[in-house]
Amino acid sequence: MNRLQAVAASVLATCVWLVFPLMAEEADVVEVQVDPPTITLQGPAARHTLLVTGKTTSGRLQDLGDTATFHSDTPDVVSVDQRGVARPLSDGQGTIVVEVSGRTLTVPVTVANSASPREFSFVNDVMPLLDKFGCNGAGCHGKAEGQAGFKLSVFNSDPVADYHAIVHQSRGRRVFRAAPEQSLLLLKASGTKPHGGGVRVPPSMPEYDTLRDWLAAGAPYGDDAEARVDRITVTPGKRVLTTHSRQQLRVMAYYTDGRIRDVTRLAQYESNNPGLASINDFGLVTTLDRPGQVALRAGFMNRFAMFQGLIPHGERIDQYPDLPEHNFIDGLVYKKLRALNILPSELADDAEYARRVYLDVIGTLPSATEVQGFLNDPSSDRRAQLVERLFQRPEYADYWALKWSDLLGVQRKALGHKAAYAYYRWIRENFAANQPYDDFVREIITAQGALLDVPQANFYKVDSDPGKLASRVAQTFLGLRIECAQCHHHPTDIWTQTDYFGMQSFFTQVKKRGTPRGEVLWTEGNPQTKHPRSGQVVHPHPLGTEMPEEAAEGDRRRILASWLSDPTNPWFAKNLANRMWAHFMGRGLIEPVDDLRATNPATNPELLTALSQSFIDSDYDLRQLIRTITQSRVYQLSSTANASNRLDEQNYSHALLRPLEAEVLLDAVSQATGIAEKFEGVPSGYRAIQLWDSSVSHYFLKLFGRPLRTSACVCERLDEPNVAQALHLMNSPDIHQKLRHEGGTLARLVKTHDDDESLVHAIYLTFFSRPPFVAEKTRALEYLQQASDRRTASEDLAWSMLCSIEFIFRH
Amino acid sequence: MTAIDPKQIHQTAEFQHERPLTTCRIDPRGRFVFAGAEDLNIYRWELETGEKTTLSGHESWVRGMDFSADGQWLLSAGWDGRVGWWPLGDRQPQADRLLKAHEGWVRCVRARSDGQLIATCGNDNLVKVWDAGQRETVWELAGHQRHVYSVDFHPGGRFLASSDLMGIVKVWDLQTGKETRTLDASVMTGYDKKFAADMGGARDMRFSTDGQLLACAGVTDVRNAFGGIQGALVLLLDWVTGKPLRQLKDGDYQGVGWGVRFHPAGFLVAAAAHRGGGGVLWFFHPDQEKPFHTFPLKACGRGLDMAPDQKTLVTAQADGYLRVYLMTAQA
Amino acid sequence: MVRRNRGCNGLDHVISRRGFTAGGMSAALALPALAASAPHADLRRGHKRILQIYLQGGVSQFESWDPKPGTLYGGPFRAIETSVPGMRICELLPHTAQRMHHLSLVRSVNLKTNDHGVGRKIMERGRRQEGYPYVGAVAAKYFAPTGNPLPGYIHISTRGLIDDTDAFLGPRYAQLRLEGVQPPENIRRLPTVTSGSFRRRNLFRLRLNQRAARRGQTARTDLYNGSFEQAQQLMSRRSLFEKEPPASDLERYGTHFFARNCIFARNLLEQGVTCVKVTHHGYDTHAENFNFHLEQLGEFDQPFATLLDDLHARGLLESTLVVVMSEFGRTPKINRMYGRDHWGASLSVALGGCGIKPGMIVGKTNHQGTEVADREVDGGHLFHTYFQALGLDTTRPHEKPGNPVPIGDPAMAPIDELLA
Repeated sequence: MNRLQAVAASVLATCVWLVFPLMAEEADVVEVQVDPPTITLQGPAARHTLLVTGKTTSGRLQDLGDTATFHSDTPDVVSVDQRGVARPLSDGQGTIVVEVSGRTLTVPVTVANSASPREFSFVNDVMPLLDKFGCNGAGCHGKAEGQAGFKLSVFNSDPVADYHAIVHQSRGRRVFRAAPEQSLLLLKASGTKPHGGGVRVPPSMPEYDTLRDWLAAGAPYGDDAEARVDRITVTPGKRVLTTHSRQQLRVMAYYTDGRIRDVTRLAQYESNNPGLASINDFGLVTTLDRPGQVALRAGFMNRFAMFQGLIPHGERIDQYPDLPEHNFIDGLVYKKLRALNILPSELADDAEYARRVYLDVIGTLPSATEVQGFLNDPSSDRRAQLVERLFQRPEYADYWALKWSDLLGVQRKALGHKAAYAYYRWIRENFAANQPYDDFVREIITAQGALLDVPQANFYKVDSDPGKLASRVAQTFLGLRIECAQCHHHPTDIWTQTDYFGMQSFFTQVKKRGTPRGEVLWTEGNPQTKHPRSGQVVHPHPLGTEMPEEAAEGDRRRILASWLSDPTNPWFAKNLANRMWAHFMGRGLIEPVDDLRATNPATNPELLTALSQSFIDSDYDLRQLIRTITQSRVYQLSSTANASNRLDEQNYSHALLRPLEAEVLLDAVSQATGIAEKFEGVPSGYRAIQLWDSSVSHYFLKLFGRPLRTSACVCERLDEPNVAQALHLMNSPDIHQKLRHEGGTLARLVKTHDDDESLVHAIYLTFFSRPPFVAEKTRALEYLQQASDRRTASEDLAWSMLCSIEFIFRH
Repeated sequence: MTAIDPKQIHQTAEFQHERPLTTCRIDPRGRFVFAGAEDLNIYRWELETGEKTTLSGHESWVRGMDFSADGQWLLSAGWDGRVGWWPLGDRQPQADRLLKAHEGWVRCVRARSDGQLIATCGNDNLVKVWDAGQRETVWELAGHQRHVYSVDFHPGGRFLASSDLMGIVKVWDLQTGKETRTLDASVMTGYDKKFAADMGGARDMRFSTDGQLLACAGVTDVRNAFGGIQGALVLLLDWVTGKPLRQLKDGDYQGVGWGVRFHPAGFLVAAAAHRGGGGVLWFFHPDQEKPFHTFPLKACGRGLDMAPDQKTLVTAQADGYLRVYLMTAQA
Repeated sequence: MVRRNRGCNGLDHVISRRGFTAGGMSAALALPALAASAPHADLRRGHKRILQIYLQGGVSQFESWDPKPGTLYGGPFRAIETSVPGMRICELLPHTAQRMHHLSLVRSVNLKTNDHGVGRKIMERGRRQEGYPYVGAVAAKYFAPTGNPLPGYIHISTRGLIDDTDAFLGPRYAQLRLEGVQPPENIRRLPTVTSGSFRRRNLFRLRLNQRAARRGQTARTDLYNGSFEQAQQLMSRRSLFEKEPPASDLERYGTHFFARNCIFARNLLEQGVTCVKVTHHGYDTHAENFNFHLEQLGEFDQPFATLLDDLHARGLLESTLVVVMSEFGRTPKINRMYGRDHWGASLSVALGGCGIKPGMIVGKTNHQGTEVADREVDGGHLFHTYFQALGLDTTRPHEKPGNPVPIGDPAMAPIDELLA
């Protein structure tokens, strides 16, 4: 196969749907529209993408680009290809004809200046190509040392240097103006000469022509004062799509001089949820089989815009039921579900609710007695009361201290035993006292003094490099990832190096010293941070704010702390609300939870805003936020799916099944079997969620994915089931000793319950936190009665339950 | 006579080859300098005239050389498993003999100063002692478990030391052919867990003239074997106690020590290559860990020798240059 | 991302005509039930397998399959003659050299990447894009007899790399990674649990899970159920792990890790595992390339050659594809640490056995080995070649409900001249 075929085929491979029939509802189309209705093509390089949209009987808009045929009625003036892209040929008036759904539409075209020589600009014509074809990527010529002697600035951050690298370096071999095709730049990019990066721009592509013509024109840099891209737009910006369908996008760039350019072919695209929809290099969106909401990001010259697609499930539900609402959360979720044609599941029963809320609020399985007590509680607000009781339990502080110790990096190895323990205690006390979250964060950020007295200052020991601290603070407390901006303009976000170093310089005053009383942390001096490229001084300033003329006096971290917890901070409350929502619902409104950015929108932005506002209004009261979430009807939905929500894992239409965390699972096993686990270095009776040190060596905890706390990423916790876990549950002596122990639950229950029926009931309450269903009871009784030894049979039963999905998962 | 002063060291000449050099030696009369290269040849330059002669015959790289006690023969250790005898002063030396000495590489060859014995070592984990005249093995010394990197005769003549990849230095009694003791140079080796590989071994090994010290050039503190992240080191061993005496190094200078010589004036000189390129000559007092003087090299230093005048040093460097230095004040 | 798949396993429409006409297909594969009742006899005749040796870190092509002695970048090693007249390989592989009549070489692989992860994925998936299954998972999916108690894809490796090997094929086809010949922990049923008890427990567990499945099944619950299924299968074959190899094997293969892993691989193949991948670590030689290749290939050579002998002697080589691969090769230029760096532009792969013509050299590099001079191929071509050699039509789509994707990259094709 020759190279061109290979390229064509690989393009095909990325949009494999071409081969398969789509669910076009052509019969339903009542109206067809071409956008834009008329085109003006200015200059020889102008392009314009036509979008063909049909309106169905139900009023839905649908991309008909796949079924439309395009041709030019004036082939000497304008040409058009089969994806609807028009190109100028000669000046004059022309017409493009679109045939679709049995209709014929015409698009008048004006072509002007098509013969005038193209005025090239390195920044606006060549750099977008370096971006699009990945030449300046961090894996290629964009890496710090370049590649094969050719270095480009990463993501177009330094046009002058890039121009120099291409035109002047390597004795000018990259550019051969007299015979542009012989320029190394083209020979390599087109794969005519061996190129480590492979064939990037085959001669068949129009981008090859652009590069060649630029070279032929003398490889000019262009006018330095020339217009730059001000913003870009995506058309359509929003659309309701169907599953297994396609939508073409058009991206327009608006320049500072008022020029508008179709850059659909030049933009780069990314889907925030490839499980819902993917997008190819030319802006064509393809949906899969799942309903939900997807955001597709288009980027061009460090400007970004978004397309949001809503993919409903099947047919519209005409008689959408009027569902009860416990609080503001419910209405906002229902609204989304209604738009997606999804019905929520039923309300969970009391037992399912109890187990869920115990595990979610205190990381602890309810005991049989507790479940029974709750089931017997006649009060109408028993669900809310239960949450209040859980707040008072010591496990509440244990569990949340465990979660936050993961995030804040409580590590004995890095901090030392004493310091790590003090740090942990400080975190735990905050949750025990329900300290407002803004105070909690402020005390961490502004910590100073002797580490023994101010244990939260250990935050500055987990990472001591100012840049890493800035990244950690942004990721943990704002859900923002800014570390890319250390070296270059953030490729998928708005952050620049100035933003990064503005944050970094908040931490450059921090000093530590050992004293006879232990380590002491303080701030001093007025160190300056310089922008690594421009060399200009960057004064400390929070993300997205104006840089002040001068650095503030005194401890700069106070400025950061008050900015963080200011009610107008766009991320602070949102980050926490999103993280808490993710904890209780199994999925954040924004995923990953530490990747908040304009181009990764929430699946339900109204809900996230409302949730975060309610958190701010409560003065950052974490328990109040938990109340709000757990009281919502949405939280209390059953995990049993219905026909419409079976494939939905994104919109909270039913409770999601999620494996218990390693520590919670081990405690649940210990509690259900009645035999506590022993851990190295802590008094007996300690539970796994009380272990403040994640490096306590323990096979079970490691096997089930306890994190090492080496980064601020929640992704450190692995929850993928594997064979070794199954083998452990089946055959390890540890589990069996718990089941068989003379002092354990089963020995006790067999002794105290003479009749099998009440024995089965008790075992179900203990392990599944619910009474057995009739069929289950019958089967269990059969099993007990067949067995020669009642005790062994009970152990068998209990083992089966312990290893079942109902026990291992939250649901 | 100008005084020897290492702090005044300066370059006096350089000879160019198009491929990186691997090692170098100056003949006992101080007339020629020989270098191995990353091709299959040995090159000879006449120091005075710079005249370059190619010695062809090996089928792999030459990384070790020595001279017969009478100064007539260049002995070469080839990675083709052969030891070569070359009449070093000939106009165009041809190998008189290329003797199959080891399975796999011959890593080092050394002649005893009385002219009777020659020692070699290699990748077959063996040390061999040869009758210099007959060119036949006297002893085949087995005991090393890993590749043997270097050998040197104790000035007393009775003992031979050999060191391997694991930093094990064995001492052999040449009267009995038996191993008499083992010295511990294990700081010169590290096991890289990530890559499951051992990195280390003495790249050069020399007894002091009085026989009290044994200096081994190589590496220590191996952090990433495949990335070359480790410290360059000269380890001094005490011949009497058999214990490591001192680690001579310059802080965390990352790279490899490739050559070491004792100067009769009581100091040591070592050549090292930095992992990032470039290199140094270090001058150490045997009783101080840090060098008392450091002289930067233009490229990685991969071989070092001292001329009989005790003032001239030569280095083989990775940029293909053989460079000549004088340890005296500049004229 | 975890995706779920409740796919069926209908072999008949994926196995190509080539497989039938080449006489490779047997009743065992077409009728899985037979395989279950008598695995050994039928497996030996018809069960297609893959032995994949992965030299982790990127073996140097100069120091292995494509030596260039005496040239600018040739390094210190010599080339030696092999059992195939005219085919010369590096002197570091003397034992393998005597078995080259079982193997062929492709010396013209250009992966266009110098990144470990990317290279590995191209070599394993035959594609640059994310989200495709590995060689072993594809083999397990289409060639594992349903009756075999062992997983279809076992990877013996002492270091863990987290790879999504099964992609959309599902966890049943994912690799089971074993740390050398160590049996997985807890592989034995506890003596205090009778076999009756053990059976009843698991039956009851399955019933409970069926209830949970009605409630809502997710990719994770699928994985969870799959892990128990796999665990039980492993238990039934634990003797494989627990037996010390006979002295005669240790003598022929050697006693170090890699030698033991090769013996283990042979046993697993004999037991009907469809793809056995053995990773040999330690080739990422940015420093001291020659010393390290001496050590690593010195360890590789004899066990690998012996393994080829055994597969041949036991009649398994005709039904087993053998591939030796790396994520890339190493730079021609010898750096200042005597290392060679990452190089994806011209590397070699050795392969042989089932469906592959032996003794061939496909493609070549130029005189100094700085680029491919003839018959350039990509990991995608190799991927097609492996499976077409086994008789799978790689142009057909995967059995992936809802969104079928071609098994091999449609932009690539098999290396026809290698196919027997």
